[in-house]
Amino acid sequence: MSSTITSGSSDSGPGVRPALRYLLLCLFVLAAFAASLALGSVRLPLHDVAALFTGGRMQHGSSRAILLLFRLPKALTAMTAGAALGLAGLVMQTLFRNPLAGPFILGINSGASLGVALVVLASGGSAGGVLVAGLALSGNLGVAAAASAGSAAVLLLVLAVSRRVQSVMTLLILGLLFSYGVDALTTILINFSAAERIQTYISWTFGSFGGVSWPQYWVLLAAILAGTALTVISIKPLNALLLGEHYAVSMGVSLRPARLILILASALLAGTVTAFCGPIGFLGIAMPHLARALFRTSDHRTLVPSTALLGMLVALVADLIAQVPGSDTILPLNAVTSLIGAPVVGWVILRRREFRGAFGS
Amino acid sequence: MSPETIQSPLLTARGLTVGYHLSGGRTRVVLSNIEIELNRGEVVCLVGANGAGKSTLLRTLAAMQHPLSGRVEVAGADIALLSPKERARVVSVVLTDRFDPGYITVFTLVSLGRNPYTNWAGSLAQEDRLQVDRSLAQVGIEELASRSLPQLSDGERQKAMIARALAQETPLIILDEPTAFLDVTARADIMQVLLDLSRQTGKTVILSTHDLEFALRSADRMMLIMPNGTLKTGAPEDLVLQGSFSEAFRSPNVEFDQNRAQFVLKRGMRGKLRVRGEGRALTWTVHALERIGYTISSDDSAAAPSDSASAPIDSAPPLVSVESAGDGYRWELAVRRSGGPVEHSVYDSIHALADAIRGFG
Repeated sequence: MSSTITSGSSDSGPGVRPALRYLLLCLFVLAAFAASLALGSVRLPLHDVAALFTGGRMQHGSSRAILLLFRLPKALTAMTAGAALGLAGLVMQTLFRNPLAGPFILGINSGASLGVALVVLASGGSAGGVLVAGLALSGNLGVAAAASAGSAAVLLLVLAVSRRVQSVMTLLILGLLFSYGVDALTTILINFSAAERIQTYISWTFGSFGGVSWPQYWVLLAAILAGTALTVISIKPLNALLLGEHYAVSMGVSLRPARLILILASALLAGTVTAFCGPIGFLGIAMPHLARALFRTSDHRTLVPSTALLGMLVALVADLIAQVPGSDTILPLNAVTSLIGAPVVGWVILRRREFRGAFGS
Repeated sequence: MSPETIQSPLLTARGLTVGYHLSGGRTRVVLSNIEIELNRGEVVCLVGANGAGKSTLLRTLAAMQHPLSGRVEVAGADIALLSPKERARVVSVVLTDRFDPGYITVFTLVSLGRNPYTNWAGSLAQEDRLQVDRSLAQVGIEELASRSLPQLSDGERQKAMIARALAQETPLIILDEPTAFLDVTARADIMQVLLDLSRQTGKTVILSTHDLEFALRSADRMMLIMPNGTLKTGAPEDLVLQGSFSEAFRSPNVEFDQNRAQFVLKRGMRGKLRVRGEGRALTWTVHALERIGYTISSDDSAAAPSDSASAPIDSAPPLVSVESAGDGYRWELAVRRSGGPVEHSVYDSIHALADAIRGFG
């Protein structure tokens, strides 16, 4: 398999060989991981971070607690969520053959938002437990459950429709219509809600990797691994779908099962992340483009691992920046991913002259 | 291959009706009562007016669309009953679908044709690679293997798509207008490739085309879609002699010239002319006079006695004679105006001659 990747990218011209690119990418991810453990409102020595894994003695007494309780789950959540959103975006872009498609194109985040809005804004009683101010809200189990229920409801609707709809373009438009409809319901809820509850809801929409506890992280990880597995077994149909559905069928792809698995994979990946971290935009749309530009291929045997790695890296870096290391300020994660990520990705994409037309231009 | 398999037809269609299911259980029949029997190694051209149902028929033969009734058998198996994977080993297609797969190399594109044979990840075994290389060689694009798709010309791209179909190792290849959008040389190139590979590999090739001249010169068999929604099949020459072409392409502005096997514009005829001369000069002079709307009376143009030529009688059409002069040609026009003497005039180009003739029209 590694040899096929080499031949698939043999036209990548001058520059770094694919194997080396993977290695560099892994090193960057590792560095970002270490940095996100060491940096934060309090700076921990790298020695203590290393000691966490080697089992050595820590210089600071509080290091172990900070790392185990806060920073490690947060860093792992960022990596898991980043990879998941990237993969979900990749799957949707190929399925819909649309460069603007992302993990939420079928309305999955709208469903999650409505679920959360219902819990936070509408339900008077249970909201008491939910009204933990600020970012601690994300990761709250009630909120996660509400978001899961919301995205699952939209997913079921989409799946039911996709069984009856011939063309993916119709499905895409229906997904958009779902989003608008569901968003409208959320807007109405907001309209009738008290200001402080709206504040709580809004802070959920900022997104955060910080609210996931260890038990929750294992749930998140299990769902993401399942979604990733579904994506990996779909690499072959994904590649065939590069030529469009007719060609894919003519080359032996069973279209309906393949489409179902892809929608399920993307919903699992994006829905779970949204449930635990809030609706995190940008990563899902941009990471596949970044992977195509850096690895100069549309071959999913390369795109799946590279998109996942890039998702991890960018999520870690964005989270680091959102913490504003050394201060107590926390910026909204969504604002950081877009503000910092968009120019970077734009630059990389524009720098590749040949990128023009690299995806359904 | 045993002798029986060579003799038995590769594709048979019995009582085939193709068309579409409309809402409310109604159907729209495009073509009906189709009987087809095609042998191995035949190049079959499907010809018909725009909108006559060429693509619908081809899609039905490739089982990408269900027939309204009747069945299609390829190599003895009803293709409607095959799984997509089994079908992909029997028939491969080149469609008119426009798609943009982005950065994949020609090698990767062609290797997608191995899909029905590869494992879940689509990794290529040694045999698959050999078949991809063979397919590239058969269409003569080995040197393009490591180029990426956006770098190809339209003709090269089409060849790559044909190589991909070859890599599927199917006894039947169906191509929907493979030369549309190509310039003349690329068109001839593609057609030559198709003829060669059918002769060399014994594959049956069905293609739809608007290029009648090519079809008449190269096809072993033609399938002609008639205006009444039936299909006429036969050697091209048989169809010409039966007058099927004139019938198939009946139009107020065009008629099929049965002698030259080409369509000519039915212009408002401006009159008759006699022409004398020989060789290429005669051919192109006739061409020009017909183009500007004159009928050439062939009865006396060749065998007219010289005296009547130099002094045409009143009822005889004007005479154009062409002869070589120096390193070019010279045209002489002899006209008798009503009752007057014969007027002779000489021209040094067809352009000047045509201007003069238009003048007295």
